[in-house]
Amino acid sequence: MQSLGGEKKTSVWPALRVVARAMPEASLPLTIAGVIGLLLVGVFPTIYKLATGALIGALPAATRAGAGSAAAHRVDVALAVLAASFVAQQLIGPVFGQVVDALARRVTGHLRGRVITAAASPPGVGHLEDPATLDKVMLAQGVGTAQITPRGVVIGAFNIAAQYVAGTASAILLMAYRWWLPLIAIALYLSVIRRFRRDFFRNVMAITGKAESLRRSQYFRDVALTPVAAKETRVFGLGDWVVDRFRTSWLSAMTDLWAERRGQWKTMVLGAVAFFSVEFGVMFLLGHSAARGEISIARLTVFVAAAQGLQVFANLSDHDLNLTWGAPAITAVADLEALVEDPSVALPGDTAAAGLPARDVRFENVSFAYPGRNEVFSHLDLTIEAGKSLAIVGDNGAGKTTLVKLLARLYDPTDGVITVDGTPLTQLDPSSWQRRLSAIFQDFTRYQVRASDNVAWGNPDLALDVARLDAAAERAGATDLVASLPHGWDTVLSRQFKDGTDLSGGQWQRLALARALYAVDAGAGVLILDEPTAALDVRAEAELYDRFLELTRGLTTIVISHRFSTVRRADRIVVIEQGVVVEQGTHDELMAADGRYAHMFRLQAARFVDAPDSEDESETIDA
Amino acid sequence: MPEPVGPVPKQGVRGLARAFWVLLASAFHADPGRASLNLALSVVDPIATVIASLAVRDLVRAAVAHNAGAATTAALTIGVTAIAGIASGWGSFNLNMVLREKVGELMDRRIMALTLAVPTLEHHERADYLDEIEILRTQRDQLSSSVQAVVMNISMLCRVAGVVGVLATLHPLLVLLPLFGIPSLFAAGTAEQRRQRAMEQCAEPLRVTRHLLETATTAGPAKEIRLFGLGPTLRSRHADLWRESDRVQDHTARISGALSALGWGVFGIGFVGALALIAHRAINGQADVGDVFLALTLAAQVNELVSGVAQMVTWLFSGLRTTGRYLWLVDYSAAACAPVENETPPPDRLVHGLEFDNVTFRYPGTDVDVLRDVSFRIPAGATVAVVGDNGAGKSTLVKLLCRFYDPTDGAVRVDGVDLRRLDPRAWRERLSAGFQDFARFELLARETVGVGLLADVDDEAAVRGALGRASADGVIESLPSGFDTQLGKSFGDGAELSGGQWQKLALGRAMMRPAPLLLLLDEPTAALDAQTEHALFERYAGAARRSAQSTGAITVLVSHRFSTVRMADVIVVLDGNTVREVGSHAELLAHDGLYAELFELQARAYR
Repeated sequence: MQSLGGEKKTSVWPALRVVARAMPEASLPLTIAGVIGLLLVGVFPTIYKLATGALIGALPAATRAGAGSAAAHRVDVALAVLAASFVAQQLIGPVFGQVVDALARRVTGHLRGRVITAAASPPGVGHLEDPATLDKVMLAQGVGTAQITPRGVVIGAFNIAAQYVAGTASAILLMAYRWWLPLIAIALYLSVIRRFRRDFFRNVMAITGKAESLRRSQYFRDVALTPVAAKETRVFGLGDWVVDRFRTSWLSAMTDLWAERRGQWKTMVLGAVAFFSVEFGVMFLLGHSAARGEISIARLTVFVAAAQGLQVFANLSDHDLNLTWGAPAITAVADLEALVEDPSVALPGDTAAAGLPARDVRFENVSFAYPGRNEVFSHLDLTIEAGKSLAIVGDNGAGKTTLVKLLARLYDPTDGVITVDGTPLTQLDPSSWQRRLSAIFQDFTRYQVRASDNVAWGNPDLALDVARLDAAAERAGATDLVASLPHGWDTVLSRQFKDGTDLSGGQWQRLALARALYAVDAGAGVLILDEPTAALDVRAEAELYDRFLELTRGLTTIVISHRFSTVRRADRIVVIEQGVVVEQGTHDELMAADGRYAHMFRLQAARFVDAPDSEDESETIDA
Repeated sequence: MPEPVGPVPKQGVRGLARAFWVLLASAFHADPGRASLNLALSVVDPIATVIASLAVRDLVRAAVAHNAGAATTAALTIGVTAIAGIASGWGSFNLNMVLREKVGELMDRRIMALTLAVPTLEHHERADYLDEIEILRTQRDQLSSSVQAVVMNISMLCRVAGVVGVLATLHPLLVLLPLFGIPSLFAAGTAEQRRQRAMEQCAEPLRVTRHLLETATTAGPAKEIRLFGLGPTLRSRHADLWRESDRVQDHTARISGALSALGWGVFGIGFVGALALIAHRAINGQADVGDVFLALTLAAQVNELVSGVAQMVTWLFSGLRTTGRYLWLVDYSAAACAPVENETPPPDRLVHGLEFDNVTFRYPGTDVDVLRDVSFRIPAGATVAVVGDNGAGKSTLVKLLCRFYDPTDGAVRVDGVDLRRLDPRAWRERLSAGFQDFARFELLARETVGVGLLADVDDEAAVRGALGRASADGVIESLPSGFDTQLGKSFGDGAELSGGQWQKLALGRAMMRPAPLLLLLDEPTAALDAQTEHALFERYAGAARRSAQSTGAITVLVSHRFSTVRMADVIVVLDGNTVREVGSHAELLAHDGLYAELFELQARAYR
């Protein structure tokens, strides 16, 4: 298991500090309202307790003087104050609750925005494949800790704070009796509760530490409940097995935890003794003082109420749970931000890349390995001519997509250099260079937003212009697709929306292609096509390759494809095998060279050459 | 979808009772010891509170009477009840934590088993059912937390009884005090219903925010996000949508806040009235100071009680909704698992073959035929290819053969027996399949393949054999720990594979069963090059033909690649949701119809 970053974090305080700083940024007015609410929630019960004392104090005289007397009037005044403070307390409560809830929602939104920025801002993508970072991301999304989000922390913190404000007010009242009494009581209560909280926090951290086995059980749960494996679990009869594996990994994570928790009974016994001593001691003192006539009945009433008000310091509630469970998610946000600001994640370079490449991009002696894995390339040399199209052919896992990732500077090579018009890529500003590129990747993204966004997000800086969208769709062969959508460009592409529609794999691919072409239209000079037709049917594929030349004219194009129909149209073809370029040239040159490429092509072509058919046509059945 | 009506019926009183019962029973099932102890503790606290308030009255009386001995006894009682109260609180806090976890796991397991038991795919593909299960999946925590609510409710009822009982000794009218709490309970109920409605309204924007967050933090999309400079757009779109949902929820919150303040106002009036009544009785000498103090304490407790019950109402409303979804799944699963009428065991070998007899199919809940009047026969021992444009119904045909669905009309027959008469589980033991949307099982590499035949899941030789049949041996060799490599990015040390490598493993999985009667290959090789696909199919068809003589096994292949398709004995051409042509490659070329046209289109690339 990876480190959780904050090994030193032994309490919820770091999380609360992050929240405290985030609150005013998320909403200043609500933060102020929340703090005022805190004070009011503390003040009214105190007035109420004082009024109670006044009422009780006034009663004996009123009983003696009877109804209608001045003493009875004092009782009525006390009752009125009591009533007013009670009703005020009752009205403040719900309003305070809603204010805190609204604030909590805003803090959650704010923190999630920060997660997006932290994850999306580094120019490389290595951090998103790094388990330590992924852990933070998972945590920050509230995964792995009973799904309690930052919202629970904010609500929990405010409610506990409100209790403490009220408790402090009670303590001040009780100080009028013996100044040291509430201090001792609070000290005892808090020392017990702190032990509880510390144990819980350890427990929660232990659970987040078991993220791996919990994640495994979560994985098996998702296998059962989501459609991803629905067909295979049924065909292969995996039902019981999946449930069994879920239970095993869950139990392996939880059994130790339960054992640890048993230790808390000791704290409980200790706590009970402390609690009894305080409660008995205070009541004993008060009762005897009053019995000896040292304090009036009115004061006794106030002090008893105040003493009971101190109990909030010994309270454990769901708010504590939410606070403790939600805390790791919050510190994870800060940790994630710190992680991506680490110099190892930032890529060097500050030269603007406008207009590049004008001549070529060269891979010179490039070696690359993903962290902790075998080398994908060793000493690769490759030239990509500007303004021409280059097809890359090779087996599965030959490193074709990795090559594109290096070109896009999503990773830097472990050795060797990539140059753009002679300038090393590492000297170019990474974002500026990345914006020169456009791409449709094999695992292109299906944005569950409007169709128009799906295309326009090829360049979000451009103002939305339907003519531009239409043009991109036209070139990607997606015009009919857009026209067939129930609300045209405004259709949300998700079945989870009332008026939304889901697309088929082929339709999504066309839209992704339109996005890439939109980015080209907006100024990107390099187009990367990574298996752009894998999901298209025969007709659509044929249509696309007929237009290949038109689409790529004047662009630096890199196309990766298994389909010779697309590959053969490229200006130049390179064949990569085991991380090395084994052949390159035009289709005709490679065919003439009669090497690996020619072999693959001929093998495939032979299957389309037919011996004259002699069968009788009447045998064909028309259905 | 034609009707947006969710399948979950509104909860009636009986539904509520059933939900309540299911929750309580699940707690006892998950951990009988903790559940009983928890229930017992839940009664301790209410008793302690009532005794404590009586003891406080005694303390005040003792003080008035200047009786130090009585004061000591009262203080002792207060101390003891305080321990009982607080310790039972801590205890149940601890018990609950574990109980909640265990109930959570139990319910998870039940939901999984119920979902997996359903032999069809309807609940995984139909949008409204999918929504129900998805909500159940994400909100299932509410099931375990409402167990707590159920226990708390019992505790609350005890407290109400105790407090009302003591109040009645002061003055019979005071029994009415809890009634003043009813408006605030109503307020809490409406507030929760309003909140749920608001959440439903915000469901769409919030779903997008989740999607955006996920997109921004996942490695796949990260590539284009950087190339297109999408980071700031994702964040600002997230913020916009979040604000939109905040606006809706703020509006609801304002109304709910006002309503509950109003409800509490009403309770405040009752509260003040009760105190005034007792105070004036005291003035008139009908009650003493201790009684007034007791009334004050008890009234404050009623206040706490009402707010507690209001919270319970809120909890129950949200929890029972989720429980309702769970009960829906229970009923749905039971109905879907109903025994087959007139059941016949599946054949051990095929003699005549498969037959589609006038099969029409539309997905449940939709009104478009995906297949219409489809009829054709596949002789035993044949290899069949199915071709057609995207959306022509190829995958649906495969789904019908797996019995993921039954035809809306017509029948699929195996050796003359309607598939409906076979137990789906028994039938599936006779077939194997590879799909285009194959599962990427994030298990050990050996298991990822081995689950194709659970009996052999840990048998490395069997797995190796299957991988050999799928030409996928190379994938294992490239993995850092070979067969024992953890796959998938969900796990820290998991190896991430390329699309093609995943596909090869899925294909290996399909080859685990040594001699299935029916092998279904629904574009399982789309990510592989044509060469590999061809070689694979050639090899497989060869093996199938040999074994076909003994078992009559049939292989069905869906592919876009005509270089592969042409090898099949029978080619079924789907177009416009029905069968356009059936025949061998040579026959169909000679026929010069749709098949010939598509073949030519692909062949062109090689001239």
